[in-house]
Amino acid sequence: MEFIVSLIVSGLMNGAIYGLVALGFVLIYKSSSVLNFSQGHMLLLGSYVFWFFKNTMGFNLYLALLLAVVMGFLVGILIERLTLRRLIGQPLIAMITVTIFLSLVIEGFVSLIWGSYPLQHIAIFSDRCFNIGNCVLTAQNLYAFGLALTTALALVLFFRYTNLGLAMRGVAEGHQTMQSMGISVKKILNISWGIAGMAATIGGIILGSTLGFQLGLSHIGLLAIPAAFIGGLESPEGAILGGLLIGLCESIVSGYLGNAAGVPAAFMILIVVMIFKPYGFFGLVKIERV
Amino acid sequence: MANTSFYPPSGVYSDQYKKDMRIIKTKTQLIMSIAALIMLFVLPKLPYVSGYILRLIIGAAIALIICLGLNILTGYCGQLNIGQSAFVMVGAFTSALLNSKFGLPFWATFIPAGLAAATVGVFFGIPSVRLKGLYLALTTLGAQIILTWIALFGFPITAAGFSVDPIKIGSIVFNTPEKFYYIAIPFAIVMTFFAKNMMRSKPGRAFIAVRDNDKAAEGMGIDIFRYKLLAFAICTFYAGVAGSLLVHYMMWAQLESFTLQDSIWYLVMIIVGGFGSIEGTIFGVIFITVLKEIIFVIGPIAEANLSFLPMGAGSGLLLIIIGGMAIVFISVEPRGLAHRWNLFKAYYRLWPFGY
Amino acid sequence: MTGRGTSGVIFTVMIASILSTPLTTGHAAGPARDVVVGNISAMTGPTSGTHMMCQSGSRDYLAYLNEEKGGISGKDGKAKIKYLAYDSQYVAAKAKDGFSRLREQGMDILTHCASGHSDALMMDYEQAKIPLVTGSQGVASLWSDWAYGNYHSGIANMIRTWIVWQKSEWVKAGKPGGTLVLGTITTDEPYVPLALWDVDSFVKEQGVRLVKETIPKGTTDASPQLLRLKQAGVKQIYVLSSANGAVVVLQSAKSMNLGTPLTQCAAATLGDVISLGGPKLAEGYQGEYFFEPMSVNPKLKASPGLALARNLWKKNHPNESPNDMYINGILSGMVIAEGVRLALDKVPPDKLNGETIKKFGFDRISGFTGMGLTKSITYLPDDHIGPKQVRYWVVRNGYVEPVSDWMPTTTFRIPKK
Repeated sequence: MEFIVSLIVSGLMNGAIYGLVALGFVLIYKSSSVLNFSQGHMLLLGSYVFWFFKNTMGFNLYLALLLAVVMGFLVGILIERLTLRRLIGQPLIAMITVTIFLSLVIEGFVSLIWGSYPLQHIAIFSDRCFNIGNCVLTAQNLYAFGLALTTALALVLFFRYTNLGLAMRGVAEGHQTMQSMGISVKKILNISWGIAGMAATIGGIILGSTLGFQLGLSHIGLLAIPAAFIGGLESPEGAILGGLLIGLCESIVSGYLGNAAGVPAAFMILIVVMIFKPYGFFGLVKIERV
Repeated sequence: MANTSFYPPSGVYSDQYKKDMRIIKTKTQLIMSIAALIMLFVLPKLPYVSGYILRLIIGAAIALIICLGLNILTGYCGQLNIGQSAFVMVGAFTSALLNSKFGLPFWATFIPAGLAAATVGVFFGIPSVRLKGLYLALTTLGAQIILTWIALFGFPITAAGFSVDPIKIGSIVFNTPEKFYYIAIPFAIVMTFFAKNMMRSKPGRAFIAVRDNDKAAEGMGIDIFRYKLLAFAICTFYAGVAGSLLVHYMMWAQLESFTLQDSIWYLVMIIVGGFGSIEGTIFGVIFITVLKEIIFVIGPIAEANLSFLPMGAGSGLLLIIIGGMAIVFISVEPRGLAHRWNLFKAYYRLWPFGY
Repeated sequence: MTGRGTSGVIFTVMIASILSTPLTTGHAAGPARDVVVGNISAMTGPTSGTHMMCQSGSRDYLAYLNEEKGGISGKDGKAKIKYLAYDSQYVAAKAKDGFSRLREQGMDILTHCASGHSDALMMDYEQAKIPLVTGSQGVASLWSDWAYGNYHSGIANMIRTWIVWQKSEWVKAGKPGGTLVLGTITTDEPYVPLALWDVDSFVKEQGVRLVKETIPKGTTDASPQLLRLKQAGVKQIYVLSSANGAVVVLQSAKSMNLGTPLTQCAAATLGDVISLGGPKLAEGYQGEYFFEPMSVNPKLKASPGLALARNLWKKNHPNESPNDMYINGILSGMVIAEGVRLALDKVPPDKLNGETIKKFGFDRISGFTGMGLTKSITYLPDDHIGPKQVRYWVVRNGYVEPVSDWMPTTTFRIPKK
C-alpha cells in the first residue's frame, strides 16, 4: 500500500518538471506553430547560465536566479530573431530542422565555454523534508511542483484575459491575419520565445540542482514531448496535466514492471490516447476546409 | 511541392506517350547515365581512393537507402517519421539473429528483414487513420522508444552486441570496404531505381495527393488510409533492407548503432536534400555525410590544439560552426538542395532567357 | 533575381569550403620509427566527458615520456610515441571508420575506454593484428587474444566481488540476523543486464539473498524503490548506475533517512558523484576502485604513480578540478609504455609493430603496478582482464579514503558465444 502511494508521489513530482518543460513547448507552438526540438537544450543553457552566475561570479542565490531568468528571456528572443525570423512563411519542416540544428549549436556553445564534463554541484534547496507516513517530500520536490502549477496558472490567465495573450493566440492562427489587424507579429514572437526561454531556464535550474549540471540535462526534452502532446499542443494547462500524467505513468509502470518500462509505457499510453483524442485532451481541434 | 521546373533542353520533344514516360529522354542523358555507372564501378580502382573514402561512400549508400524510404513516407506522402532508425534496427536484428542463431546467409535474410521491418512499420502506421502531422510524428517517436526498449530488454545479447558473418557469394567473402563497395552500390542503385519508378507511377501520385490535400484526394476516390499504410510499408521495408546491409557490413550487431539521434539525422538529410525528390535524397545524404565527416576529422585536431580551453571545447566549437552553417543554409534555401539543383538546371537550359 | 544570386553565391562558397577540406590528412610516419598509438573515443556526445578524461590521461602520460625521458628505452633501443585520436561519436560505424583511418596512418597500438567500442572493433583489430589496451573491456573482447584490459576485472565481477566482501564482513561480525540480505538498485542502462548476468545462481551459491530494484534513467526520485529495499530488510545496497543515477539515489536516501550504507559500482567513480552531487550529499558513500583515484585525500600518503598523475594534471589541466577517469587513461598509457619497453628488450625499434609489441611486450606483463597506482596487472595466455584486485573506499569530507584493503576479485566471465 505504501509502495503505490510513494510511487504516485514520486511520479507527480517528476511530472511537474516534465510539465514545466512541456509548457515551454506549448508556448512556442501556440505562438509560432513551431515544434521546438531545442527546448531541452535551452533548458541546459539556462541551467549553465545560472551556474555561471552563482558559482563563477559568486552572486547571492536570489540575484543569480533573477539574472539567469532574465538571460533566459534574452536568449529566447535572440534565438527567435537570429534563426526563425527568416523562416516565417516557410514550410513547417524547415523550421523544425532549424531547431534541431539549433540544439547542436547550443550544445556546442555550452561545451565550448564550460567543457563537456559535469560541473560542480550547487545546493539550492534546503534539506528540509516533509514526511507523510513513510513517504518523503523534499523541499525541491515541493518547489518544482509549486512552480509548475503557478507558472501554468499564470500562463492560462495570461492567455485568456490579457491583450498580449490574445495577440499571441492570434499570431498562432495566422501571421498575415494578425499583421492586417495591426499587431506586430515580430514583437509577439519575440515575447513568446522569451517567455519560453524563461520557463526553460527555471526548469533547468530545478533539474540541475537535482541531477547535477551536466550535458545530459537536455534529454528531459524527450519525455516532455509526449507530455505536451497529451495535453494538447495549444494548451498550457494541458501541458501541466500531460506532464503529471506522464510522470505518474512512468513511475507506476517502472515501479511494478521494473526495467524502466515506464518510458515506453508512457509512449504507448500516449498513442492510445491520441487515437481517441487526436488533438490531445485540451488541444484545439483543427477544422479542415477543403 | 511541385517539381519546380522540368524544362527539356530545346529541340527535345516526345512524339509517343511511351517516349514521354521514359526516365532518360535524350541521348545525352543516356550517355551521362552510362558514364556515371561506369565511374561508380571503377571508383575503387582509382589511385587516391583509400579504403577510408570507400567506407564513407558505403556508409552514404546505406544511408541513401534509408533516406529514400523516409523520403517516400515523409516527402512524398507527408507523414512525418521521427523513428526511422528503429525500423532499421528491426531489419538489422532480424537479419543478424537469423544469421547468428540459424546460420542463414545474408541473401536469405535481407528480404525477411525488410518484411519484418515493414510489418512493424505498418503496425505503427495504423494511428495515421486518425492522426495528422505532428501528432503522427509522435507515434513514430513512440515507435523509436518502444522498439529500442524491446530490443534492450527482450534480447540481452543485443545490448552487448554480437558478431555477424560477412556476405559471401560463392567463394568471395565481402569483408573489406573494397569488396563490400560492390554490394552496397548495386543495392543503392537498384533501390533508387525502384523508388524513382514507384514515385512516377500511380502510388507516387496518390502519395503526393495525400500529402498536398488529403480531403480532396479522398474526394477523388483515393483510399487515403490504404495509401498511407502502403507508404509506411515501403518506407520501413527500405529501412529493413538497409539495416540488414548495415549489420553485414559492420559484421557486428549492436543496439547503440540505432538511436534517436540517427533518426533525426536521416530526417535532416532529406530536408536538406529536398522533400519529395529522389535526386534530393542523394544530394542530402552526400551533403550531411560530408558535414559529419568534417566534425569527425577536424574535431580531434581542434581538441588537441585548443587544450587551454576546457575539455570538449574544440568539438563544441566545431558543432557551433557546423550547426550555424546548416541553419544559414536552411534559411537561405528551405526547399533543399534539389530545388537549387532544379533552378540551376533551368538557368543553364534557358540562358540567356530569364524564364 | 538578387535574392537568388546572393543565395547562390553563399551556397557555392559553402560547398567550395567544404570540398577544400582535406579528407585524408597524414600519411605514414617519417623516417624515425615512432610507435603510433591510436585512440578512438566519443569526443562529442553525452559520454564525451568520461572518454575525454581517459584520452587525456593516456595522451598526457605518453607525451610526458616523450618529453622527460626522450621516449621509451629498452635493451635494444629507444622509441618515441606518436599519439593520434579520432572521434567515434559513440557510434560503432564511426569507430570502425576511425580504425581504418588510423590504420592508414600506421597505427601499432589501439587504445580507448569504451566497452561498446572494444566489442565492435574486435574483428578489426584482430584482423589487423593490432593489440588493444583498453580502459574498459566489453563482453566479447574479454575473450579476445588481442585485447588487454586495465580498468576493471570484468563487468560481471563487480557485483560478485562486492557480495563476497559483504559476506566476509558479515561472517566476521558473527552472522547477525541469520541470513544476509543485500540489495541492488539499477538504472536502465545497456550494461546493466551484463553486470547482473546470472547473478541469481551466484547468490544462491553464496547463500545470501539479493533484492533487485530499478529506477528509470531520467527520474528525480528513487524513494519508492529504496522504500521497498528497506522493507525487505536489506543490509547494504549496491548502486549500479552512472553518476547521475547515483546522485538521485543518494538524495532520495538522504531525504528518507535511509541509513543503509550504499556502495557505488565502478561504472561511475566516487569522484564524479562527489562533484555532481556535492561533498555533503556524498558523505559516507562507498565505492570501488581498481586503482588509486585522484580523489584520494591529499593528506594520505600517495603512491609515486598518483603523485605523477597529480603533476600531470596540474600541468595539462590547470583550471579544472581533478577527475578519477584521468587515472584510467594514465594506466592505459603506462601499460602501453610497459609493453613497448618489454618488447624493446627483445627486438630493435625498427622491428616494432603490433604483433611484436603484443608477443614480446604485453604478453609478458606480469605483476605490473603502474608506479603503485594499482595492485597488480598480469596478463596470462587465456586471461587479459588485467587488474584482479579491488579496493573499497568511502567518501569523507569530499575526499575518498580506503575502507578495506586490496582484495582479490571473482573471476566469472560471461560465457563465450
